[in-house]
Amino acid sequence: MSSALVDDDPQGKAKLLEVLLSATQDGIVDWDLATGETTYNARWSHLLGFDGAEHVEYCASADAWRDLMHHEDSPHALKLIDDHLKQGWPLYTTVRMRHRYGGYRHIMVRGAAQRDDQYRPVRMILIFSDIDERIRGEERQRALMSALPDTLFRVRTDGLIVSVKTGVERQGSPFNALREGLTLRDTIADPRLRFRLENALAEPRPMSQAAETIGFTTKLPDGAQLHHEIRIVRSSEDELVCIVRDVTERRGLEDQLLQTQKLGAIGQLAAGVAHEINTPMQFIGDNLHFTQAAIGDVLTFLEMLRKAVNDAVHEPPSPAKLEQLAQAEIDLDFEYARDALPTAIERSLSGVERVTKIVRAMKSFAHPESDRLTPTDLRQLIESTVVVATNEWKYVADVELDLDTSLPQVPCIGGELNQVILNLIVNASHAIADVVGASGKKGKISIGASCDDFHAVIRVHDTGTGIPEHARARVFEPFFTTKEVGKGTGQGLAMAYNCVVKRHRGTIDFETELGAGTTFVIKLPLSIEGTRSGLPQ
Amino acid sequence: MTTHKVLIIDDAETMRSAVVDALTPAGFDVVTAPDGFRGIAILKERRDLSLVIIDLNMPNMSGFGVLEWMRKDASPHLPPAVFMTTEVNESVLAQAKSAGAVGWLVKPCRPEQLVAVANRILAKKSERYGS
Repeated sequence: MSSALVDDDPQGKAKLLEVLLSATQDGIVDWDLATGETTYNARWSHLLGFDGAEHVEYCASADAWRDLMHHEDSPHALKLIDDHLKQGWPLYTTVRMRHRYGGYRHIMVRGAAQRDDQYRPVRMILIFSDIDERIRGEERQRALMSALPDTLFRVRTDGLIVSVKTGVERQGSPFNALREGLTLRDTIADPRLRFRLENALAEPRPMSQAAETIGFTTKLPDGAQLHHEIRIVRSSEDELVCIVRDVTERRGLEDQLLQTQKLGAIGQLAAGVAHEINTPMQFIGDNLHFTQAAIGDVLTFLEMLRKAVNDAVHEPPSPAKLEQLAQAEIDLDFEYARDALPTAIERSLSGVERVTKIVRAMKSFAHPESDRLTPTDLRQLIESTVVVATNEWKYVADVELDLDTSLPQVPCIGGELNQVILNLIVNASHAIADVVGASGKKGKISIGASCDDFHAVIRVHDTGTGIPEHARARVFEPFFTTKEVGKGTGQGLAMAYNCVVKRHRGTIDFETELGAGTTFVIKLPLSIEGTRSGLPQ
Repeated sequence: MTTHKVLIIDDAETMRSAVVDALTPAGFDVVTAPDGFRGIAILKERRDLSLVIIDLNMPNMSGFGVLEWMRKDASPHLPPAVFMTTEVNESVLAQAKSAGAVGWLVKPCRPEQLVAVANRILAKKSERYGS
């Protein structure tokens, strides 16, 4: 047995042709360019619903293949045939052809010319294939796809873009230049996006695996931002399908929701904070009232002394005068005023200090900074959050802080992370309240911050009830709560999870023991480079 | 008569040597490049090329990438481009035409076919430029 290319053996060729003509599902037209005569195989008319006698009748015309083409399609097809004959462009086109039973079918037309040694065409073979099912399927799919707002493209693992369906992409979208036949390198101008796409392409990914989603934010020249979500699934050994969705609006809504939650929490806290401020204000007031009265007496006594001294310049004071002064000192209780005044002023100042501290904490808690990861002093963040939340914990627990002084600045979104800490403190207080009840005893909340080589670690421990077994798997689920109606909305820990895991690429876990308490452990990456994306999602 | 110089950009060694073997006996000088980047480097440097044959499917930069670069560069000395592929379909053909390709070869192509196409395009070119 040997194998060779049949092209080189004339006898083999003739046999092969015979087999091919009987086996093919395609219609074939042999067109003699010198005489204009055409020869059709039987299959040709079967494609269009003719048979036997009809075949002879219809195909007697040399131009049947042209006449049955849809009038809208034939000029283009004839032009392509001309391009092939004159310039050698491959002939490959699809036309609609009239069917015997009405309507049109989609027929793919291919062909090749036989040429003489001057490259002049002398004969043309046209091949007609019925691809109606496929085209209709594709049209259905295209209609379906064009109804989707997403951009879809297929890309080979080497970066070549195989097909593109552009969705609703705004001006400035990095996906606007995607084009079939070009590569990612040619069409994705943003190097960060390209890098991430190429990374995703390079990852070994089994066909059955669920889509991987990556997020990407584009900064526009006017300062606005576009957010995209790209889902990637493998469609074949060396090809992936990417679905790009513009999530700018959704992100905007999410941000608004987050901001609303934050404002809601601040509103809740406001009552507590008002109370916290009111107490020192009250004793500042009391002490100032006392000071006012005492100073009045002291000044009166001083005035009497001053007069006595002035008189003494002219004549020595009489014993009666001195007796009068001594009586005045007793009446005005000068000694008491002298001793009590400094204390009253000290107390007032310490009250002012307490108010200042609360106000400063409140300010740093609510600061409307950007949603970017910014180097942040975690100790200050935790301290101010504890102060702001004082009214939440002070009746049920003492708070113990153990914040490592060598903690470096940690990249985080301060305005969100303090919300997380606040939620944990509120939860801890509620858990402790369930234990101590109205007994007047107090539990303990310990908050620690430290770091290892790669992470800052925040631990929030309470001596509360612990999390019941049935709830443990669900604590981070949105809207899951074990608290009574009105006390918990089930959003605190869900928000914490979202913030820590998705925005900071960190982790949040807990250890809990029924009756002993719970410790939540948050780990935040120390460097942005250490995270996979470098940017919050 | 000057010798026409033809550049072939193809990542497959066999295709490059097939083109060299087909065109050299017919009196062409053939320069080869194994990928789009080196192809572009040659196109930038040499001003004496008469024709460039580009493989469509190459890793890193496709043939369209090369053509896109040529279209943007638009230097008058850039030669006409012919694509070469194994598979053909309607949309890629239409895209090639609109991108400015002047011809298309389907792999595998016989040596005489290659020569005929090269001659035809060069004949047209000299008609156009009167050289």
